[in-house]
Amino acid sequence: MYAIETRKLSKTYRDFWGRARIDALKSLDLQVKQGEVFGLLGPNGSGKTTTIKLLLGLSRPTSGHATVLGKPAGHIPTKARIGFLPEESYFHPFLNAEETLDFYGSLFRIPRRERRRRIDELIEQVGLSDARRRPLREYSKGMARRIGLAQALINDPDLILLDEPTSGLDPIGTHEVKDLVRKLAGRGKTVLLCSHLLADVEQVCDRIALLVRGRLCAQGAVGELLADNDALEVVLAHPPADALRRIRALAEEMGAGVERAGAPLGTLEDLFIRIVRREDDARRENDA
Amino acid sequence: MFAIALISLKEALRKRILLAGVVFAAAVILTAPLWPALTDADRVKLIEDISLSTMALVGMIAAVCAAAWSLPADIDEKRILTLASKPVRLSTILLGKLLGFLATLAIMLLIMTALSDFVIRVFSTHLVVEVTQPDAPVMSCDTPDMSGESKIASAPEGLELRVTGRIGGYYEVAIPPELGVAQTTGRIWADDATTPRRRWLAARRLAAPSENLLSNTGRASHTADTLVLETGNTAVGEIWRFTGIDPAALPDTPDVPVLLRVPGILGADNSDRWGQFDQAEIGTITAVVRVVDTASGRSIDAVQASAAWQADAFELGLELPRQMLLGGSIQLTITETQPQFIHKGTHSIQNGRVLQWRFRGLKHRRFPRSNAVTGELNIALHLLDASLEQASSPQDDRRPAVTLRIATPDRTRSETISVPVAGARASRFTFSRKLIDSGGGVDITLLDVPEAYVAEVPGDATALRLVEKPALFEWSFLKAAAFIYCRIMIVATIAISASTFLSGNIAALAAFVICLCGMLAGFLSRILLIGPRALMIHDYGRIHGEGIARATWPVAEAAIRLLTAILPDLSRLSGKRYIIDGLDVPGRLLLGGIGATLIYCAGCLLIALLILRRREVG
Repeated sequence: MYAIETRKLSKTYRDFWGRARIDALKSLDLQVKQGEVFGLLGPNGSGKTTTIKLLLGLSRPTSGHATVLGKPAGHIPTKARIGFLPEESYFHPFLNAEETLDFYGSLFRIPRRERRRRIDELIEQVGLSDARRRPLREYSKGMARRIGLAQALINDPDLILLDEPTSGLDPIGTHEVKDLVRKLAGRGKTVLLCSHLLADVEQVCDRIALLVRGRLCAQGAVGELLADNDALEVVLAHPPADALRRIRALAEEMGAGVERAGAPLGTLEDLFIRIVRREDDARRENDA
Repeated sequence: MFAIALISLKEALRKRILLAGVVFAAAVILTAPLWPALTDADRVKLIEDISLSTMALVGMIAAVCAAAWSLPADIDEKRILTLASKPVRLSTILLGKLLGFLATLAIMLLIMTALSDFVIRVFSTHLVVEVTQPDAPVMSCDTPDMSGESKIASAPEGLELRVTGRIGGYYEVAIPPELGVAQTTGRIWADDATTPRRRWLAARRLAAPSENLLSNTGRASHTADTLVLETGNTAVGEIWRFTGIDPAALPDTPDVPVLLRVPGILGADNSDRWGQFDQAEIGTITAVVRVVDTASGRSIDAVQASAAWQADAFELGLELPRQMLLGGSIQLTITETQPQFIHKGTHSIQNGRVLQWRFRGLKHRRFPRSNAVTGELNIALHLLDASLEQASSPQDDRRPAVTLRIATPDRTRSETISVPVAGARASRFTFSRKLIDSGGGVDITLLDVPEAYVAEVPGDATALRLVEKPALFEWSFLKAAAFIYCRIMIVATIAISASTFLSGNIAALAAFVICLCGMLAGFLSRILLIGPRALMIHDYGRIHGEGIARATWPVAEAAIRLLTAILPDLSRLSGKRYIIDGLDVPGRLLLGGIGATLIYCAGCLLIALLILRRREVG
């Protein structure tokens, strides 16, 4: 059984007079297996958010069918097993982090004691311990994303739908979110991650689907889709000084050309995290 | 649902506009006592009126503000996405929100009610019972506010009363029966101490001395196309009967023009303020006249504006339905006047054996809101006959009783009761609270006292104490607040229902318009059905029920009936009239109001939920 399955799912938005305005989704066939991290990629306006709304029953499909955790999309009791982080974090601005999580927890009828435990745990997990009593209207965008993530996890869901989870987060926050997604996947949770930040998706997703203007253009495992079978990449550890010359000679001998050679480049994200952490460690030592 | 209700409660409580509403209401209620009022009793009524009106207004505005914008704001700001992704239905969200707002509005209303009750209590805690006139037992001249002398003497044409000093409100002359006066003309001259001019106040003639002061006979006459009704000097509330109306002489129109000539009117509502007024200074008056068809008992209230003083009388033009006059006899009462004091003059001449006290400054508010007020009258009677004294022990059923007449100072209302008297013991009796409400004082007249007592009643042995029963909380006021809450429930339900398919601003506007039309529904239908004449007739419902007025255009009537059936008639959801009249709000009326409110709200919500089922929030 798939965690998410759609068959010819289409959505057309209409105007007041019932005339078709935008075909947001066209005949989408999608299968997300249980326990995998699935990335839904696409440029702005490609139908990612519409897909999520249809899966949650917030919108009704124009045609087609979708099942979520084996039940039709929008099935109320099934929603108790779903966590959802919307594209932007919209909460009651007068509530603080604790009250917000308590409110959403109470919608799942989680017992008070259990709710308290999860709230403490999640606030710690998303790094909002210092701001737990501040009203949300005073939160930065990154903090609001964090509380959004916490509310999506308050019911310990089996399926988590994350719409642009890293938008508004700094690289550290982005890194933490990706770590969190990996941890959730490790606990057997199914994650559907919508994003147009390809690097994020690439690093955490098992499989991806690519939507363009509401149409599914590609679907498959990340490794399969990205693999270039016409090229070979080898990274040598501790190469000797003449390694490059000898490899070129070997390649010539094999009848292959060398397109690119040199020291491998790390990612900017790795560099940023390394420097910020080093500075943090230095400050802590000084403080100590 | 309760989690959503709780969050809505928090949301509403943290909205500054609701706080501002409560602060505004508090300011209005707390300053209500500063409004000018003629008497303390009026002041309390004014505070009650202002408080209830403010509570209703602020409550309804708050209901719209809280309910109309909430759901659209959630949708516009996309909070609904997070909320609806949880295992809750949209209908649950809607009902939860409504529940939360109703709880908030209940809190607001309770605060305003408590504040109003506090202010009313502060301004109604003075009970002053003043015995002004233990008088001579046989012949009395009662001039309550007069500091000068009075003198009664025989005159060639009858009995003459001369008053010197400050003019009091009215004069009451008791004619001893032994004088054998059958026909009486009272004529009063007065020297006003405040202005050095002499006034002659109108005389009043009675065909025969009458015990019944509550009904007077006026003169009806016909002119070419008008029925002329002439009264004597009258007080507000005094009943005048006109007989001998000739049906054949009435003009052949549905409404008969009637000219009412009134030489002078005395306002009753403020009868403990007896200022001096001159008709010429007043110029014009507006009066509400109640006309009762004595044959059928049908009644209407008619208003005639701007009746001018015509040399010697006010002439009020009325239009009365012809059907009311066909019985040949009507009864007429001027129930209100504007301005209040128009004329004071000789008011009544009473025949009978009287012993009279006046108790003034009674504050109606201090008594329970029941129709009966209990009093205790201490009458210390000096008994000449020892055997009578023995017979007057409390255990003895044969103990003598005195008959009391209790009346308002202006004599518009009176009651006669019999009270057993036991020596100097207090005797309890009960009388209608209307006597206090309409005058701020009562007259107690001893009638029919056994001979042995009459001669020896000591003048200083009287005291009246009205038994107070101050309630811990004014349940009646709470009932009136409950009526307001019913209105608020309807307004909030309409607003939140409209917001399921309209934007917040449009939903708020729609709720306001529907409620305004609802408030005016009865009035609008009246105007549309019977035309501008409806403005003159207060008591339209009864007239219409008896088939006097009919729409000239049946389609319009059907449309209006449909409109009034759809719109909530909020004007009926009010207990203000009862509160201001000092009466208890009937529980049955309140239950009916609550029932109608619940049915109306349920209907609105049903429609809203049906709309919401088709609604996409994404």
